[in-house]
Amino acid sequence: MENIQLEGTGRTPEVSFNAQTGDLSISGRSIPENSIAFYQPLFDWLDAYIQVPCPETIFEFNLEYFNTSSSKCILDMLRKLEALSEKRHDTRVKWYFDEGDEDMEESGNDFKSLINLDIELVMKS
Amino acid sequence: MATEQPKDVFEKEVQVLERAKALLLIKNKSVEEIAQEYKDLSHEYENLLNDARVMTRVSDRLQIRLNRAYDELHNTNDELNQTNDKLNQANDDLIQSTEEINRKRIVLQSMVDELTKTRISKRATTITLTAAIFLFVVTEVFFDPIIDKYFENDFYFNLILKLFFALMLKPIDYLVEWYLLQDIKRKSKHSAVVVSE
Repeated sequence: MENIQLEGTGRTPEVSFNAQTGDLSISGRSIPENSIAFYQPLFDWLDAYIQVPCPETIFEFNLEYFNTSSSKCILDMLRKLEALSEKRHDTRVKWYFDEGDEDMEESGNDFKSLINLDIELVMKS
Repeated sequence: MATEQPKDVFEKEVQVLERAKALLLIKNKSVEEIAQEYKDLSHEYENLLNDARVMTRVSDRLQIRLNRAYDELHNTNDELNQTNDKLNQANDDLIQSTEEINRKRIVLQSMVDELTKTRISKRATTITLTAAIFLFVVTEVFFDPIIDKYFENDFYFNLILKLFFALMLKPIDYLVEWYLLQDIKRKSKHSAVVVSE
């Protein structure tokens, strides 16, 4: 299974999905004009990964800004991780936010309240 | 990886809806099957409702954040406009000051020129007076014996000669003044060339 490594741009986030280590991360801005076009390959990768996951999967969200359609894509990714967790695989999510960025912290809490998953809110120092 | 590209982020929900609509057309479903489908549909609806709630909250926060950024930009723009107005005012003041300085410089230069002219005029007068004394001595010592000898001490000739020397004093004064002024101008020009080099 191939890993995904995408450089971030002014509109799309940096993506690093490593199937060998189980370290997955998305960071930066997510305001693509066509969110599904950007996220669909990531969904497909996750679907394939869930079939043969690592013993431990850590997904890190380190976003500074995202638009509404990206929030739906984030929810869908979290649901896939939730499904992985339900298969009794060690699945953890870290949601990073800047100190004083209440919007991003509250978004993390919203996702946490909705998804039955171990989501850790981490304040960046 | 899938090859078919979905139309939007709600593709999965659209599929659920289409499935529900298709079920309505099937007549020979058992009660258990319908109950199961209803349960699945309720579950999907619950998920969609929760998603809508979260997305609405996220969207509201984004809007507030954008409004905040817009207000900050608006305030910054106002501050920039104010600073620009102050700079324009300062520029106008500077132009006025420069014009005032230029005006004063011209007046000062005119005064300096006048002063130089007066100083040179005094110097020229001194030189002319010295020349007059010299001529007086020369006429008394050298010309008078000659006049006595050749013109038999002609009073009128003597008077005309001395009057001629006296009348020559003003052109001499003018010539000396003109020469000194030219000398000053030449020296000023030379100084300017040296400074520019």
